[in-house]
Amino acid sequence: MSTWPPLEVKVWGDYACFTRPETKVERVSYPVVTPSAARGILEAIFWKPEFAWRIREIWVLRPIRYVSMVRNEVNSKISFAAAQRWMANGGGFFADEDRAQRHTLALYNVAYVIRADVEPRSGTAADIAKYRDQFRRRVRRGECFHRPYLGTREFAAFFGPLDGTETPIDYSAPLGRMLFDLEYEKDGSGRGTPRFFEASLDRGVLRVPPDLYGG
Amino acid sequence: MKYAMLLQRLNEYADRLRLPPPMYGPTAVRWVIHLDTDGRMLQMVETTGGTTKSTQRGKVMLTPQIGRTVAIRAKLLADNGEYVLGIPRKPEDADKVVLRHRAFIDLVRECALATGELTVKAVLQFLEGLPHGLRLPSGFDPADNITFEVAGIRPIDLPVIQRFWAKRAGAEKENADDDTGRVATCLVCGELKQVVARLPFKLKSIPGGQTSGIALVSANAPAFESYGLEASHVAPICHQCAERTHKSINALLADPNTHLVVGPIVYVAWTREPVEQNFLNLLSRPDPAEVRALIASVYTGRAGSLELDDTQYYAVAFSASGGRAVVRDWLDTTVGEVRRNLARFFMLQRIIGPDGNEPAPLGIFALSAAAVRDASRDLPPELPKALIRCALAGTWIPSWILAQAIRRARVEQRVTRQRAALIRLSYLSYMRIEKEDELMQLDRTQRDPAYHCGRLLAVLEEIQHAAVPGAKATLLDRFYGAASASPATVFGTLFRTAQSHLGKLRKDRPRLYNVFQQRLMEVQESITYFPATLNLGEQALFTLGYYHQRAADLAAARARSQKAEDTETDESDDE
Repeated sequence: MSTWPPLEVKVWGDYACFTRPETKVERVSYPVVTPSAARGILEAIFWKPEFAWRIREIWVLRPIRYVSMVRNEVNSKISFAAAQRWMANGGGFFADEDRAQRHTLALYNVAYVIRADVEPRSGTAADIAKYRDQFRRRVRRGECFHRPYLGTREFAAFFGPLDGTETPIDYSAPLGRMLFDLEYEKDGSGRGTPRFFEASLDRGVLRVPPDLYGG
Repeated sequence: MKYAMLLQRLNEYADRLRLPPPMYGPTAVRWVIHLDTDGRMLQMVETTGGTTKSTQRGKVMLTPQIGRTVAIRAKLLADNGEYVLGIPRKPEDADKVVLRHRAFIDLVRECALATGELTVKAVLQFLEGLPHGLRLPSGFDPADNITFEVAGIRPIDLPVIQRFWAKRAGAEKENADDDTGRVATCLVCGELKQVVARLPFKLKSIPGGQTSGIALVSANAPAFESYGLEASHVAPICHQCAERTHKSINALLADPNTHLVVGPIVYVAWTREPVEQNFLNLLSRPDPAEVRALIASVYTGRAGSLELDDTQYYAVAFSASGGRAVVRDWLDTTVGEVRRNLARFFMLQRIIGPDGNEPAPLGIFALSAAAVRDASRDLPPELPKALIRCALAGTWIPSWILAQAIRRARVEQRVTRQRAALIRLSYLSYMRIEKEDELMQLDRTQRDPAYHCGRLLAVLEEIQHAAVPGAKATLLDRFYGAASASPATVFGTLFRTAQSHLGKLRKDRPRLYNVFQQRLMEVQESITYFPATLNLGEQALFTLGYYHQRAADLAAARARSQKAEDTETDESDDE
């Protein structure tokens, strides 16, 4: 584990949906941002092949509130071959012809502090402090590789540095088994196995057990 | 409030149910072959004396089950005559039946070897000795189900046999429709187990769902897949947890005490430990005495057992979307919390009856129906959901419900008692007022002119009614909408009309004229000015003012006629 203090970023947004895998179609969100969604947000801000993100803690800054909505979602996945065909012959995907109404039980008005470490991958020679500084600068300037989002692309995330007033909500409870992250297969196929962990909120703080990252 | 772990809580609940053992289900068994411990047949006993069609198939027992179509798959120790005894139903099936019978014997042998159970060994001995000297009773049909009893013990009831079957049938099921045989951490029990590709269980009787049942977890199209994981592998669940969670929901849906259907959604609720009180019943059919007791227990501190109050209380709302269940809402709280919230809910909806008496508390359906035209068709699921959330979780009612109820009143020019109760509840929510006696009945001290405009309209209506009985287009039909939205524009006209009505009354029924004149003055005193427009909160006050005034007048009229009856005097002009 890193001996540095964790890097921090505050993220917030109007809506969030960290979809539970067992309710993937008619979506229900986890009550709190999951470690893998938090990793996604950090990677949107700053990512290099030389290091991996390890989430240490997530602070929940606003009360957990759910909102129910119905949205139009599409039924099929885009295929690479189809996209190539469109590039060659024109045409495209018309969502209107391929959609269904689906219910979402999303979170409303969320704000979190993500505290995480950058962990050098094997073969990284550079001083890790450089990446840490780069991340801090990017957060301060609001720079990102792509727009970070809260669980699903439609729910954009705002982010910025902490101002020192952030306090986790005063709420403790077990949250049950939560998606930790995916263990991707090494063959580059994109297949992965979901891993779960026993999550709990301790006075508004979700701690990610370090042993999930293998020590 | 907590919101997690729906499946885990349902899995816990399965412990409370007397569920059939895994892969067991109820089946009609007509014949029981009694054996001794050496596998000699003692007798073949028919289980029923019934004559009706349904009882003829035999007594219903819990027996090993397996999905079976045309392929040969034997059920353990209890099956039909073709499998158990090798007697074909139709002569042309003889060859197939030989195979079926062999499959049955092989399964019993496998079970005997695996469990070493003596009763099963006896059954095996009997089967291997067939068909020597088997005398079939009259009325035997190879389609009937048969099972065994060895020295007074039915092997299918033994836990060791049930465990064997759970493993055997579970494994067979996996292999049959799951080519990967994927092993993963089950997200319900957390154990590393073989997980199912498609959950083999369905939820029954969710409103709007297919009658054959709908799926709780279902990823049946490529768009729902992730990370190259197909179907339900995205959400790894082991066979046992899948069965237990589904059976829990079905048990909750089957018991009238644990579910509540309102329009398109169904709520199911359960507690961690058994609790006497039934909150869902109270919400659907509130018993006045029970509601009074509930309110008293909460507000006078005469609480029930505190231990019970700490018991966890769970509720979940489902609706259907084609063949799939939608989780609309999920609540994780305590019994004590629910009792307090329910008491508050019934306090907030209290309102005087149209005749001045305090009527019985209203259920969720009656309240929801007050905001729509036709509750059987137009009820949006969010409406009862918001009310139930208010009742169970102590939240406020969203303001769109208040707007809708007011709009309904304007369209129908009618403020029913249900509607008035809903408007009071929503208005107090809108204003975040938690006073039990606020706006329950006529309140002359209200400061908002909107309230008194509503009262005024009620009085003017009554004057018209008295002066022109049976008028075709009443003042209410023509002016309710305008009066409730922009009083300044209409009350001038209304006053002029009222003057001619009053003039008529002064000649015909002078005593009544005096009553009305007095009432008009009294109401007008409270109106400092006629507002040009009313906002949502003011419109609610207008509606309640109108309703309260009418209720008070009706009560007064009734008291007068009661008094008149009692004294036997003839005061016919006093209504």
